[in-house]
Amino acid sequence: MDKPNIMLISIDQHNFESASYLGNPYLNTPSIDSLHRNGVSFVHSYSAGPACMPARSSWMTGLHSSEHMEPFNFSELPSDIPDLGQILRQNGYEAVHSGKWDVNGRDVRQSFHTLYYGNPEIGGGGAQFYDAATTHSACRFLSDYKGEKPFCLHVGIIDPHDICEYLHNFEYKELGNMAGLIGKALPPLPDNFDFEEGEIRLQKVCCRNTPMIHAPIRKIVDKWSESQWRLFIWHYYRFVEKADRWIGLLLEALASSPYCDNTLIIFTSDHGESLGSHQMFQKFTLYNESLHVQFIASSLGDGFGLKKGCIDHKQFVSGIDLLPTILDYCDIARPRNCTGVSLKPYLEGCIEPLRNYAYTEANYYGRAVIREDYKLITEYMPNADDRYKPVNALNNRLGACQLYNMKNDYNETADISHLPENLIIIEELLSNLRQIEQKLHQRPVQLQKTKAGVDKVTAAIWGEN
Amino acid sequence: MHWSLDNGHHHGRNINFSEYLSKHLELYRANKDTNLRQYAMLPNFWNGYRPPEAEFEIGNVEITRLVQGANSKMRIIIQNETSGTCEENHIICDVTKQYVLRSLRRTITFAEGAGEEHKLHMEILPQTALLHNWVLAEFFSELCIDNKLPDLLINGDYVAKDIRVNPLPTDSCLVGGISLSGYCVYGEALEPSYWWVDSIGEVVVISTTFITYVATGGEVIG
Repeated sequence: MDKPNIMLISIDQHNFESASYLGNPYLNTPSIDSLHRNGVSFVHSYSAGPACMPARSSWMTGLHSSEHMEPFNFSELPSDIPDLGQILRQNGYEAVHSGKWDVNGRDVRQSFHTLYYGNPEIGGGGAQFYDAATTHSACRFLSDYKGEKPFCLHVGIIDPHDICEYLHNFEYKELGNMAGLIGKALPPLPDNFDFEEGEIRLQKVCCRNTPMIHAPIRKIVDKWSESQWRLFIWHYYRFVEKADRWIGLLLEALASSPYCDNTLIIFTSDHGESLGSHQMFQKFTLYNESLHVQFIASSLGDGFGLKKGCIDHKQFVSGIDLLPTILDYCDIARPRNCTGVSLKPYLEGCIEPLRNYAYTEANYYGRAVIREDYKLITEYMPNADDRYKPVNALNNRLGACQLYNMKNDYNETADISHLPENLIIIEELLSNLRQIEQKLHQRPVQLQKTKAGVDKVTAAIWGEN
Repeated sequence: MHWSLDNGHHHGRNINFSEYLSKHLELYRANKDTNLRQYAMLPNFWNGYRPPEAEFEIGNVEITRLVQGANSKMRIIIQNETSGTCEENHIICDVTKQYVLRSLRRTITFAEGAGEEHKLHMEILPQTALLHNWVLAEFFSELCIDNKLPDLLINGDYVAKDIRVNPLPTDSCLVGGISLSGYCVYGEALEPSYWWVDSIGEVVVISTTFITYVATGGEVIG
């Protein structure tokens, strides 16, 4: 087989359960379903960081945010860290990009050949402005590309991120409650709509009480009726369906191109959407709805030996695995310090799962370790002497914990960290955390913009300046 | 001002959104043309999407009726500065069958950033009954009598099914001295938009997630 082409389709803020193939009856996603039918979908797939920039920097570098040092939406990727586009181009690939990029500190044009990037350059949102042009540009590339090099095409679709603007409306005005018009089609509240008070500080600071992020929206949402929450979920599903239709156009273009059989498609989202779980909206937290994302490896042809229509329950996948997986398929060595692992051997059925946990960082101090049996959510306290030192067990004291049984409480409704019999389990998970940290290539914060972000988060969480 | 049109506080700059709506509607009434309808595109959100010094309006839609009869021909030009695209659509639709699309020829010109301009050509010959969303705007009152519409072809891009047009549960809204009736249009893959119709049944304002389209007859100097 010649070197394969890759089409990476990313959507933004996609709640894992929001797909028809998983049995959700409140929306229709024929294109995502088709990706699943043509490939392997990973159930244990988690964002490397539940916000756009951290997650996207992890995609592009194969690193966690404490390694690439873009832990917030208001930080900056250091210039010495190579990214996917640069590596591909240095190794004989045509690396092309269309749509949302959102890796702060790295101009997409330094990394990929850009097909479309908006006017001005696309920032965080605006699917209604950009997704059509993003998709058309990518479709045109698929139909017109005549180059000799194999290609890697990244299409960054923004929807369902436009749900953020639905919410931003509430900062300024009272929207009429249209639930009566929609009637029976309104989805129900999630089973884990209620929440417990004993959350770590970081969860609260992100989305509860008077949060650091989107406080005006929180204020309004706290007064929402049940029907307003359900209307919010209903709106969200319409944005997911729009993202799905753009994917459909991309799949049609690929199917009618000469590259149909020799192109591996990878579909994922940067992070999830809380969608009313724990009475939260958007992302930023370490709960599953914020972290859990689709990761589907798919092919319209038969060239990659994928088990088609397979839902994988064994392998734990992180956003940091995207880069090493793509590079492995392209037969390109991954960067020396890359923390992610290639899923290629696993997808080819050669080996057992590569890891039995997922690890995620959030907002500089937050950490989650997710295993098949338990999930630990915790946070580090700021280092009193130097808060810019790498955050880990050596430099920081641990704050509060939340522990959930993933086998009988996947919705994270009952924190069992306070039960004496679970102390051993917590110790075990903390030991997992320390082992993971030992393998990381963490850096101190050096860039001024990122330092300012650390100061902001530290002040919000612990009231320090 | 109805909440769907009340975007005055979204912009982080001193913009009187309702005044823009009113002035455009005044221009629309003063310069009515039966064969040409123009909509100005007003941004519902500004920060993060437009440079601070940019002009407030982000583009326009121009619908020209070229031939009337059993086959209605229309040319629709959509210019959007934020996406950096200009589309020219040539539509032929069947007047006798709910204006469903017979053909769509489309050229999109991309001119974003400092990149060079390039064009994309498409032709669509639908195999099923599809209504173009701007054709719905043009013949809204005729088409929405029984609230049962064909599937919508959204801007020629994708099909939105199960379309609903529901009157808004509110009294009429006064904009620029004109009394308007509101409708909510939504469906599968189509988030709600709010369509405002004047006393003779013409759609004069459409409020979507990011853009408010307001009928106009010229340029409003901000």
